[in-house]
Amino acid sequence: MTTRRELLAGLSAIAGAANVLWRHEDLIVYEFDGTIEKKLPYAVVFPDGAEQVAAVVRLCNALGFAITPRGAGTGLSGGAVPAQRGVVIATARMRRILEVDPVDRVAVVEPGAPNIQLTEAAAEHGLFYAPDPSSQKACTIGGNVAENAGGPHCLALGVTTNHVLGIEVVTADGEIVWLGGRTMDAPGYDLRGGFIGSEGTLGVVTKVVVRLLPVPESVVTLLGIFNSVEEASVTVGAIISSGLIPAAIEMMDRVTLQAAEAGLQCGYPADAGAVLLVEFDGIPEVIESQATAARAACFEAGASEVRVARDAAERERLWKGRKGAIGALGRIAPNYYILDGVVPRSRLVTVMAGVDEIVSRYGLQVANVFHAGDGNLHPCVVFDERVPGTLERVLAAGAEIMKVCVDAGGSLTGEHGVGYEKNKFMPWLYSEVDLENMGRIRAVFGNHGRFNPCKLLPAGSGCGEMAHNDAAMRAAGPDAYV
Amino acid sequence: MRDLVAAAGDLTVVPVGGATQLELGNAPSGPFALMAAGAALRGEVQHEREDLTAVVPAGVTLGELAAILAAKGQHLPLDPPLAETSTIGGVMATGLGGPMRPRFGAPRDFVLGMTVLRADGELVKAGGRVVKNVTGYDLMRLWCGSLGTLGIITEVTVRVYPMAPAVDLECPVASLAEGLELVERIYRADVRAEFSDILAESGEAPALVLRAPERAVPALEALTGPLRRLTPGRYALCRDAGYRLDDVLALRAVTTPSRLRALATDLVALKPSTLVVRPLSGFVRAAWDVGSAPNARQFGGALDQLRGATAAVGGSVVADRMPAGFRGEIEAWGPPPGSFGLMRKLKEAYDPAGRFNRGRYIGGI
Ligand SMILES: Cc1cc2nc3c(=O)[nH]c(=O)nc-3n(C[C@H](O)[C@H](O)[C@H](O)COP(=O)(O)OP(=O)(O)OC[C@H]3O[C@@H](n4cnc5c(N)ncnc54)[C@H](O)[C@@H]3O)c2cc1C
Repeated sequence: MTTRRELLAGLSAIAGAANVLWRHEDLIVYEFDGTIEKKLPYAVVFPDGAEQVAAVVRLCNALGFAITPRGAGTGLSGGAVPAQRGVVIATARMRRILEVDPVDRVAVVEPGAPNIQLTEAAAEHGLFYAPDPSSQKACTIGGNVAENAGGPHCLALGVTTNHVLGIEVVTADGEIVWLGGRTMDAPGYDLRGGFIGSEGTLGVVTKVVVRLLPVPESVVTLLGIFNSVEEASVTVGAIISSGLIPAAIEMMDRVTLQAAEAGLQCGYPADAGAVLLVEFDGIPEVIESQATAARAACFEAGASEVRVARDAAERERLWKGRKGAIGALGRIAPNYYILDGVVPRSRLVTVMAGVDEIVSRYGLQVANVFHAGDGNLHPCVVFDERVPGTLERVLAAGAEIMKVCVDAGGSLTGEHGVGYEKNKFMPWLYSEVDLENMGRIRAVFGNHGRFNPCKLLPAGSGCGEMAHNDAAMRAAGPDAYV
Repeated sequence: MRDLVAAAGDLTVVPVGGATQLELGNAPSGPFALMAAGAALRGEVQHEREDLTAVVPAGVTLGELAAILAAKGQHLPLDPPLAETSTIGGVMATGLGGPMRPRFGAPRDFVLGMTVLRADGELVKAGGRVVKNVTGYDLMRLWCGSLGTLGIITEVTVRVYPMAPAVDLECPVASLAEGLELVERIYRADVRAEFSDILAESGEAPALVLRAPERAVPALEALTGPLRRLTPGRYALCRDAGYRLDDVLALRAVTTPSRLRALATDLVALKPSTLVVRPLSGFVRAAWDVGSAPNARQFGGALDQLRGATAAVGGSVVADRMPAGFRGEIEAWGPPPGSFGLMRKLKEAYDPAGRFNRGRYIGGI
């Protein structure tokens, strides 16, 4: 048996004692992410690059400790929670933008760099990095790669996997290897594509090569104001099926609008039932007619008003409210539980009604703020954890909402990942054979059960039954495992 | 399908879709059996117009799919060589795009979900039917471009697009360099051309060939000068060059934008009968007819040189089509990348006995 003392000595020898945390008061910052579950690691280590990461991985493998990679901890599926304790490998010391190449339109960044920093560095060259999660001020590129993160502007431009050309990774068995590179479409298996979205279960990303795009020539941002979520949902369908693909279509309901307006003063109509934030970009000749068509679609579905942002400042304000909306929900209640189901766009109206029915049956309050153009819902249940029994009800309602999405032909998660939170529900979508088939990729990368364990696929033994998740399972009923 | 695979016994199975890419890659190692996967995997397409998705049996050709989608004003902007007769399963397995690749993505970028027949006879799926989804490992990306070596694709769910009216245009350019510069200026001006290729046929001046919305034409002409409507057939040439009946030899190369000019210039020196440059994806394809093709030794030497020059940035040069006599001497894929060890392990995890396409893929996988 290895003692914790031996582990700490080994980690310190690799990364320096100053870059290893082990005191209880230091570790508690690393026991959670943006979700509800918690688990304390034995140690947190901050390596400075691939070599140190590889050494840490090999040490932990040799000593038999579990490993959990961690970026900024903004994840919403428990991915960075060290489910079997062990060692957290944090990327906070690897946060440089190594290169921005305006000719090849690529940037090379370290995994701990916050998403926003990349876009700021690219802006100097008239370029930007497309995936823009609402958490972009904090979340890291490494975390984005691990979750295949999306964002409001992913409707037209695609998600992380569409913008990452190559990654340097340390595999779960401690080998340093490049997957992809600086060019597109190299022959051979697309291991890059297989790694992106693997939620930190195959290895640690240590460098990322991303594609940058030219900043759009011009932008039109519309704010459609509606009496109800239903009217706004109908509009989304109308816009998409009329042949337009806006740069973004975001929905906010009344609860969200009021919280965002109170917290952020962004000029939202606080009495509206819902708003749609619709954006087009490109050359003025093309986008003006698109904006006119979208405006007409809003009115046709019953919009009471459609505002057009007059200038960049007003546009910024409208987006500030959208991107800060989830944080602003803190004004309503101390806790929130955010879901991430996706439904076919044609089912938006029905599913939103289903969500409403579920939360009211559980006596809960929900705020809706989401990527409507993709059908990617974010029902956000707001609650107070201190009220006994509430958390169980919240999780149970959450499980039912996911079931409704799946039953509508949708999926469990559009961008937040399966993690520790939804892995029990995977059998709703995939057979046992499908899941076993997916699991084989772990062995390919050398993960034999100790690399970010208990995530993504239904967990085996040794994952410590979590009381919270069990409540959700019970609520989802006996067919949960079919 | 299962029965077809079983019937092959110990032979390695070479699945055939639309038979447009049978020459791709190395010859199978050892005895093999062709399997008519395309014919076995036909069926009805489920097109959901409002959702912009379609579930397509793998044996449906892109031509058939286009007709179904067009009836409802939509399309799949994926245009590999010989698109009409290629089956969607084959297109995903080979992973080749066409002129629209820079704007709309590679075949893998259209895939929302996929079902695959594994070598041991199990049908397995990944992904789903919605346009945004991170539920589970993205095995679709591993299957796409794997040339069937990990499994035979039986069904594909794709994202489709509204058909936007656009016009096909061209203008002559003085040189490849000028063409490259124009494409860059158009891109930077945010005029979103659906494609913009440079086409050079031997003995003719190169031309810039593009497709854009009608409303964008004045903005384009401000950059290019007067544009001509494209002669029918020119677009198909950009798409199919290298795969036409009289192309005896063809290669594709990919590099970074900054090195593209040098790469294209090196290729011009080899006097291909047709050269297509796709600047926004760093791509060049060169094709030779019987009259212009170099011999195996010349071609092999040139390939080595090109591969050496692109290796530094992780580029690649693939010999897509070669006369039978070249095959013994020339490796179709070029040297495998540093991640080849993982590629081998992947193959072992899904097809340990090499039942599918043994030897045809990169590094002899
Ligand atoms: C208010 C709010 C809004 C959000 N909005 C969006 C949104 O619009 N779109 C969206 O997609 N997400 C959104 N998220 C979710 C979250 O921000 C993303 O999933 C983000 O990508 C996580 O990045 P992180 O650095 O915080 O990763 P963490 O939470 O630290 O980790 C997430 C996962 O990535 C793994 N990981 C982290 N770094 C690495 C690495 N270098 N190598 C390997 N694995 C690694 C971890 O093990 C874990 O499994 C939001 C979250 C919040 C709190």
